[in-house]
Amino acid sequence: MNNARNAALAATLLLSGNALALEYSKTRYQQTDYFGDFGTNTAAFINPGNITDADQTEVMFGMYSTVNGKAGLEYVSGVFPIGYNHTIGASVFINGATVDKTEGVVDAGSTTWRKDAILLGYGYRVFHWMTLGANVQVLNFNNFGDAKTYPIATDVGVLFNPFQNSKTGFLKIGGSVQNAYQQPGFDNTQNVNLGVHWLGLDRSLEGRAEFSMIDFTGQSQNAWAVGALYFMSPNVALGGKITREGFPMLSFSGNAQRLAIIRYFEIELDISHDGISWEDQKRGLLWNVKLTSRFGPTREEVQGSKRYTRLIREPEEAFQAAMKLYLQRRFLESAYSFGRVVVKYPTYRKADIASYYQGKSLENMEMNAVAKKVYQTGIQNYDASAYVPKYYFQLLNIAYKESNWSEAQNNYNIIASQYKSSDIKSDADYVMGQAYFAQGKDSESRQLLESIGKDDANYGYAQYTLGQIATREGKLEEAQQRFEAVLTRQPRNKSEKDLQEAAAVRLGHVLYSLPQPQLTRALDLYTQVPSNSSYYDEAQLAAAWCFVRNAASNPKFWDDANKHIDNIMDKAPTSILIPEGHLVKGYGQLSRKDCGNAVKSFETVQQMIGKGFLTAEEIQKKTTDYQTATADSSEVMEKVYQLSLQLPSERVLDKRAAVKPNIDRIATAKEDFFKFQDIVNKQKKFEKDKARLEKDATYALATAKKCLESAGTGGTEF
Amino acid sequence: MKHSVSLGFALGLAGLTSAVFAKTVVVPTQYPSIREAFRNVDFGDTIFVKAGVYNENVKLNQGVVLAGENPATTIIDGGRRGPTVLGEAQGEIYGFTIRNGIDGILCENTTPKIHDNIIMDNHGAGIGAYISQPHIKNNVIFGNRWSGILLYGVNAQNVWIENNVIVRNGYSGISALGPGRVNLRNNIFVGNHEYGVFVDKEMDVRINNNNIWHNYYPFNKYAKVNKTNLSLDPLFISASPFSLNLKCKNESPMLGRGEGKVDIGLYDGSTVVPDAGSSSASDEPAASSSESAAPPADSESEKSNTSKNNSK
Repeated sequence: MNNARNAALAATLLLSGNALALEYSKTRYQQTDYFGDFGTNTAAFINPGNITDADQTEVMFGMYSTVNGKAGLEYVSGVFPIGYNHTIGASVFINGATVDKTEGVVDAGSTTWRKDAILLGYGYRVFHWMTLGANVQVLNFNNFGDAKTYPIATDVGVLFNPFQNSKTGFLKIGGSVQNAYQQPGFDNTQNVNLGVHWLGLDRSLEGRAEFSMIDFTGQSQNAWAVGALYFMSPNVALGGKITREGFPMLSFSGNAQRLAIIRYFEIELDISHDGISWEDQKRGLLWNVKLTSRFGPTREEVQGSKRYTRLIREPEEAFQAAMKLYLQRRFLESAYSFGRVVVKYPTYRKADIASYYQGKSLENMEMNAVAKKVYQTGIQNYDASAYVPKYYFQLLNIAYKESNWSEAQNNYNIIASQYKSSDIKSDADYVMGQAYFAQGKDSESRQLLESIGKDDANYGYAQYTLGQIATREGKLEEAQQRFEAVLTRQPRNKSEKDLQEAAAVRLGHVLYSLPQPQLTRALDLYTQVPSNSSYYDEAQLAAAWCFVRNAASNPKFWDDANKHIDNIMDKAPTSILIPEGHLVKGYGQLSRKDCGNAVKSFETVQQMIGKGFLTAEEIQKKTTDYQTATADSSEVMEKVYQLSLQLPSERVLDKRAAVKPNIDRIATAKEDFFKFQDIVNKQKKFEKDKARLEKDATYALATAKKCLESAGTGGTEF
Repeated sequence: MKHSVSLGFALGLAGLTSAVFAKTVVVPTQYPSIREAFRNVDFGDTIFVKAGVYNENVKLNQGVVLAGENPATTIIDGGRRGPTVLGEAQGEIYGFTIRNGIDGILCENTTPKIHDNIIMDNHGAGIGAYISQPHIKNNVIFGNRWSGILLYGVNAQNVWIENNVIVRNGYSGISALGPGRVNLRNNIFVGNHEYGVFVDKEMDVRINNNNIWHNYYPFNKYAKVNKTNLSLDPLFISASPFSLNLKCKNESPMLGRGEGKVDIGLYDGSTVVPDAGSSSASDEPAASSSESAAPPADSESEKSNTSKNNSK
């Protein structure tokens, strides 16, 4: 440390050019060779913007000395890159001397002179070609006991990198102002430093030139330095320089990489001799050593790791976003979003699930043809996936919905043979059971549906269909049990609630039809069906018939029956059961000998039967309109499918926007037509009952008319 | 769950349909810039770019081929604004010099094909691939500030990094980091300032028939460099950036020494060679006594090894 303590003295000696001139010179304290050399890259003392060049944590130690020990300085610096654009640095300069009083230099009561500095630097890459930097310095200044202060000063710098390429190399041009601001007591000059640094020929040649205007606001004086270094191999370089103080120096640099935890280590040595300087100051050999070590990950690795962490979450986030859309029943958007997951992240562990829900989204939009493509592609691409049986199940389901029984059978066979232990098997059993039921294959249907256990979500549905089969087969006791099984389960969703309403009506019918009818229980079941149920009209009519059945013994029941008929007319005015309601009303009126109204009721029945709900022309027109509106359905479906597999570029988004009105048009047409078909189906059912109603209404009308005539002549009893 | 996913599967149907209507647009004849051309093409289309310097940052489109007229004279200059080219699933780029970006080509969660380009003088990595499956073939990757190719979490089951010439990059020729799997074959790594090939311990890299020569270090201890790899002077026609031609001379030892008997380094022919694992010899450990064996990792100097090779 003796060398270090003599640094101030040495600095003064060097700068003054007079070995005995021991007067402190503030002018060039920060412009000595040590600061110039040490500060260039790491400490950012000359230009704080320089530190952004460090792409890795860097620690540097520097020492200047003369062999005769007249001067020295020690220096430690650290630089820490943060993210891609930010870098911070810290440096400590130890600079001081203890002077022998016998030299008669001072008479201040103290032999200690210190001027240590702590620097904190920050560099910010504004653009890739420009960096700004700033330092804050705290000075510990003790001038032979005169003062011990901690004033602060700041430096600012800018650095340009006009080019960086293999042909022209890497060029930096920088400018900075030292002590741009300083508190009273800091007591140094304000200096302007300009520098050029070039590295080229595949990093084998390095050149540097610096120019400083010292105390540019006062007694300005200039200093300059140049140097060059040639790498003879990647490890070893030789060069030379002329320092700010005019010393020609020989430079040597050697480096090694990956030395245990040290990623990079470099030693730089500058040597000179006073004898070859412009003016021999009798200080013999001069030497300057810098040791540089780099640790930890590079900016590339840190940035890479962050990017990797972000990207590894990206597929999951995209999947969850798509699922959210799906659960919100925004099926078009979810089809696109799941498609993006499939295409963008093909190795993502849920890509198969994304593909599955892409298909489900399309299926929910009634785009069955392209949904099938998605499932078939999924089977092909994710052949080892647990979702393969689910793909087959969806294919089975579509085939069922389209009444494509052979395709349904094929897909079911695959599930039953290859995936019989899959959790989708019972779903497949149910759907295939339904398919058999729809084909009238009751025994096959029964076999599959009976295999569905009580714990299965399909149990209630299976029991309902089994109840229908039993009813069809005249096994009323079994039917009763099946429907009861549906009703005893707690509904978990609207679909199950609907199922229970249907089961209640069916069970009511069974109880009504028993040799010993259980009308009270049946009535109870019918009246449980709420008015917003699609079974409401049927339940209300059946309830009315329950009263009619006992009205002979209790005429007041006609009023009760009428109330239920009124409920239908009030709450379900378009119901196909209204003609039958009028028939029941007519019977009641007739029983009360309200013959005029009874005639009207029966005539109404006849009129409604005659008119029907829809004419053949209306059905034809509606069908033609639907076919016209959906003529491009396949084409639009295909477009949606294609677009769901294209990543959302600007152009793709435009295309999606363009196809949207067509999707909406087709969806609206389909929805309208499905509602229309429901009416048509009801009409078909109505047509089946038409003959019975007509016969009953004709007979009842004749009776009512007779009643009316009799009333005019004194009455007739029935 | 295991997926048998291969590059380009997902749009099989879409691709076929679109291919029927595929078109080629020309820059700058039809569109003044590459970006403008991308706004007007669809899956299956090709953008042909005539020679010239295009100061743009380009994002590839899915299923669109971006073709340069000549890799030496058709230049995309990223202007240090970001990646010069941003990869996209099933995008393809060839025939360009890609320079002066932060990364030359950046691939994030994507599956592009990158071939027959010169990717040089970028300020980050030449190619940065993160959780991607890029097929990187027949490129010159030269003088980039960071790694020539940085692979992070790449799980390239069915795609290859092959026949590239990766020279004088700031860190390693190729850095394979994070968990994953990569296949390297028939590449040349020369004069990179850290390793020729650097492999993270989590990464499984199959390294066959490459030439790793005169890098600061040839490769690290996790790089399983077997005896099919070489360490020889590739005899480039010219490695000077002023007349860069990194094809090998006729007398180069790289010719016919690659996997499948194709050339190591830039290769004009098709690089359809046997798949990984087809050659049992390729999985054997490196044998330093072999003429063609690569140098040992880290410690031993390449120079001495190369001398040994050349002396035989």
